[in-house]
Amino acid sequence: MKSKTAYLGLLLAFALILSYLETLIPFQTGIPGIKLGLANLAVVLCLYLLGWREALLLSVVKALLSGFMFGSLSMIIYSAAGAFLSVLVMILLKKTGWFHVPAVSGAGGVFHNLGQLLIAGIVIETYGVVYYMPILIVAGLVTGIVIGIVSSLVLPYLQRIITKGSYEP
Amino acid sequence: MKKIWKDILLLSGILLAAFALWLFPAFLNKEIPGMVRVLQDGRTLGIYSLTEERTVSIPYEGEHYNLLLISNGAAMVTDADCPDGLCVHQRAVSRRGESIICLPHRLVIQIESKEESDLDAVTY
Repeated sequence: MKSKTAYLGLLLAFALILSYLETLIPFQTGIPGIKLGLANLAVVLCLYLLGWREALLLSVVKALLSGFMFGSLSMIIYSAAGAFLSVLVMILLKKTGWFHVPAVSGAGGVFHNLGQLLIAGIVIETYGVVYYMPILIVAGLVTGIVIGIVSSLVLPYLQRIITKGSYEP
Repeated sequence: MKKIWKDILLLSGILLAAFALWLFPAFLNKEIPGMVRVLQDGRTLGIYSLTEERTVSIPYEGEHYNLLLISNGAAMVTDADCPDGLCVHQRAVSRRGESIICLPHRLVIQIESKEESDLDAVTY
């Protein structure tokens, strides 16, 4: 692939736009930590289009930049931990070759929330976060699967654009 | 072509883990019992666990007393010789922050949690 860096930049911009979009959508559940996680779409696409190193880089940079632009310092810590764990799990699941995109993405969504919660538990020093876990797992699973389905629909076209320069088969 | 049953296995495994964690706090709750702190004149006389059944007699200026009963995870004052006896009439306390106060004997009995955060508030 000739212009990997350019595609990586495009995907990062895509991720940041999705992060911004997410702050505009009024989606309040009353439970801290539940987000749509739209930006994960870019990470999943990157994982399947460019490779695991690029996906790891993209997710961490995305967490840092979107935290600086739309969030707070504590949010950066939480979301960077979540993003790192999530992309690690997705890389491993993809490497096994057993799963389709929605399942990989669903697991990624779950571990994004778990990573955040783990850090929150360490920072606040309480077991109270355990109560949130089941809700966050299910929420992460649902949003992750939806993002995975979207990714698997878009991926063939993007793949063709990257390899042939045209999305037509 | 990959089979879909592996996907379903993975996702249902995650759901199962969520369900297990949902049941888990029920057991966790019983393992973190509250504590009863007894204060007189602002000084701590003693801290007792809510899980142990016991009666504590709290003396005041020699001949006066309050009798504290801890049983079934709750604390109450069963007997006292203070003039108004309000502490005896108060209902049993068991939850964090609840307290029984006997003004004539300058006595405060309050429930505390063994596990308490050092932080006042946290933002996400």
